[in-house]
Amino acid sequence: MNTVGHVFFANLLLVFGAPSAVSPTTLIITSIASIITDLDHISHLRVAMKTRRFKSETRSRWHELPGLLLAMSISLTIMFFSATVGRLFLIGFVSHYTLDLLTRPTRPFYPLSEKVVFLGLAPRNLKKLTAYDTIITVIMGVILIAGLHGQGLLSI
Amino acid sequence: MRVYMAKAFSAFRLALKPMLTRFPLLKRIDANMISGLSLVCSPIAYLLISERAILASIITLFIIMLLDALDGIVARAKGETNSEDGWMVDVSVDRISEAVIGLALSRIFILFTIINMGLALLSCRYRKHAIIPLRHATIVILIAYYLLQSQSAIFSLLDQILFQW
Repeated sequence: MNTVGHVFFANLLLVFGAPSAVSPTTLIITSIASIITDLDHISHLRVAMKTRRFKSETRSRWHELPGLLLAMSISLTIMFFSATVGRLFLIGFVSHYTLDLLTRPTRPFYPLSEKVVFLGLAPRNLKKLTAYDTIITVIMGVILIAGLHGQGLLSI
Repeated sequence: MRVYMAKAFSAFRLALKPMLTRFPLLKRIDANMISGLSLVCSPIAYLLISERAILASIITLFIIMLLDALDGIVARAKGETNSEDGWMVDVSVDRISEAVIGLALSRIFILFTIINMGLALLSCRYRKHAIIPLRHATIVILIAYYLLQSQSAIFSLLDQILFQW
């Protein structure tokens, strides 16, 4: 999923799952946590500009289950000092892996196995995938705006 | 109990096979897609648990478990016998699903999710399947939480296990 989609999905989980914790600061923390996993894509930017997509090979071990294991362990450790901040990080991290597994071919057990897993819920054709991503992102954006409006954080 | 469940599964598989040949639409459904649908239901379960809609969350968790069981049955009925591929899809979807559901639960559940994820990686490394049935345990505790609301001592203990610890 694209970066905006990741931010929207993480914040959706926050706004509807933990409405008491919602504030501009918590929204920013969740947003950062939801896109931090994509940092390993930076070294593959040049190739991705040409092919217009990040392939599953560009995902390092920190973008798969070992990465989620580490991210969840860090979040749990933070939770013992600040339950809210830890949970915000957890929502951001988990939402990223969920959305990626749902919409992209991934190698969940990399580096233990190179096997690519694709659930077939999103198209593989680049044009169709871009349209699919855009529609899902817009839908999530609309729901998020409605949620924030309901919380009184955003006036339309 | 295990024998009865295995018998029930094989009967279901046998019943499903003629259905797959009769309805071409069912044949088009991919086993991985069913696993994906179970993952799509996980954020719904998380939101319902967060809202303390216990009965609705129990039903959603049952649907997730049903879809989880169904993907393997469909794969076998369609003759897709590459067990390693199926295992990877199944285990990765299950672990992420547990992580999503765990977002609404206490730290003890998150700890068990982390342990389970470690076990999944070790299972892949050593080719031996060893997993804690965390979602099953969550359903059992949620059912107890729902049924024992009148008994305050047990209810508060379950509340602590589920949401406070």
